[in-house]
Amino acid sequence: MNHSEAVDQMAAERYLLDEMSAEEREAFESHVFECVECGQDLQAAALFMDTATEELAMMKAAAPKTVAAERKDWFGWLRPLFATPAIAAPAFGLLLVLIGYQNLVQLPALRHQAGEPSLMVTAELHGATRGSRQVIAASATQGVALAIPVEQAVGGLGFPSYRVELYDAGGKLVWGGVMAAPAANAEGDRQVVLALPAGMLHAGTYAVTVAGQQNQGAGSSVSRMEFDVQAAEQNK
Amino acid sequence: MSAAAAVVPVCDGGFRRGELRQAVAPQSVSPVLVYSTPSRGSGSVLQFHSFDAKYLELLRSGDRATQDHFVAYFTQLLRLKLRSRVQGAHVVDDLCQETFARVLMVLRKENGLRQAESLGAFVNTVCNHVLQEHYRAAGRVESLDAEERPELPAHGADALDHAVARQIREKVRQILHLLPARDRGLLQAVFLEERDRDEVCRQFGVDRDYLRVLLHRAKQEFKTEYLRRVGAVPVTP
Repeated sequence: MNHSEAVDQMAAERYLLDEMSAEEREAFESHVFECVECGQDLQAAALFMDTATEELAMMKAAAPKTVAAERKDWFGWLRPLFATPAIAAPAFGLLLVLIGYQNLVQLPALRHQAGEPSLMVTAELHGATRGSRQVIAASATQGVALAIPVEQAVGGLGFPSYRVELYDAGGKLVWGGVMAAPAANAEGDRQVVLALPAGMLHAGTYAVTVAGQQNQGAGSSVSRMEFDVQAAEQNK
Repeated sequence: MSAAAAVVPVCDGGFRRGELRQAVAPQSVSPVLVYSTPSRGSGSVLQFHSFDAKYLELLRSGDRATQDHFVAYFTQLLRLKLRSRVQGAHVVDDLCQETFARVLMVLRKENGLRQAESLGAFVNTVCNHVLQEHYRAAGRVESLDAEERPELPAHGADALDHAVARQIREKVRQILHLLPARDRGLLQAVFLEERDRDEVCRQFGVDRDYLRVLLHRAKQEFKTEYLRRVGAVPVTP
């Protein structure tokens, strides 16, 4: 091997990377011992390789460890799913549609419905006569307004407030509330109206209890009024 | 020790430092000037170009600077040649020392080496003979040596003093940092992890030519610094 061949073939690199046959190695070694330029070239390459190996080891040792942080990422398995545009874009679009529908359609409709006046069937409760209960017709489309004579219910005694509770046929409390004593009507009676929305009453026996309450919260004896609910069609 | 044995410079591998096989006191050092072409900007360091008659004469006479250069220069070449042929850095070191001892013995004879320009080839030839003798004598000795003594890595910087070694390392670090991460990873896999070259090339999506060119370019960038720090011959005023 002569000098030109050694240079053209990058012989020093091939020699150090073990890319030469035995004959090529012999030929190159013979040349490199005679040619100072190639000898220095080979030595420079060898020194670079040895030093670079040490430096790369130090770089590897100094590299920050990220494995521990990845292990604690419990939701890491999910992240790639949503990081995919094919999935993330439609998901966000659907969310926007739902939010828009709720804010632009549903909520305004509910507010409108709540603020609109509505017709209701009125029924004045009174204590059951001997042997029969009061019958009230109820429909799935119309509410019932129960007029409850609170003062009369508690024996004519006046209270600052009254507690009214509604029980269904199974004795389960359906609703309960407290109201300040109303003003007396023309007949001198004091009534409160319990508005029951359409579909709340089903066929069966219900009961309303009334208890007068003092300012300190102490109650009086409770009066109970039962009534039967029938479907409005049956009452015709 | 034979009276004919001259001072044999140590084939410095980081061990056996300072040990000499000496029987004859060294001759006085000749006055300086090894070469005629001073390097740029520095009056005290000359660039080594070739082995000539003057070099040979200084070597024969035992000039310390020349002898040091001779050993340092050929030690690296001999170690590169031997480490792929024998097992164990201590074996490489022994064969290096034997080679130097025989070369210097011949050089100090009258007309031992007639052509200075063939000094390099002569060193290579002597090394080949030493190697052949080692192979013939190998077996029991070599295998015991390989088992008892640890394998030491080849350190090209062992013969350098600390300041030069630090500068060399800094240059290499700079070269590595300027490489793309992929190239750095490629060198790491080949040099540090010593993985199969073909497998590494497949993993990184390159061929063997790419790896060779990568090493070549890095070496070219490193060589300037190397020649500046290591390749010169110090001149004694």
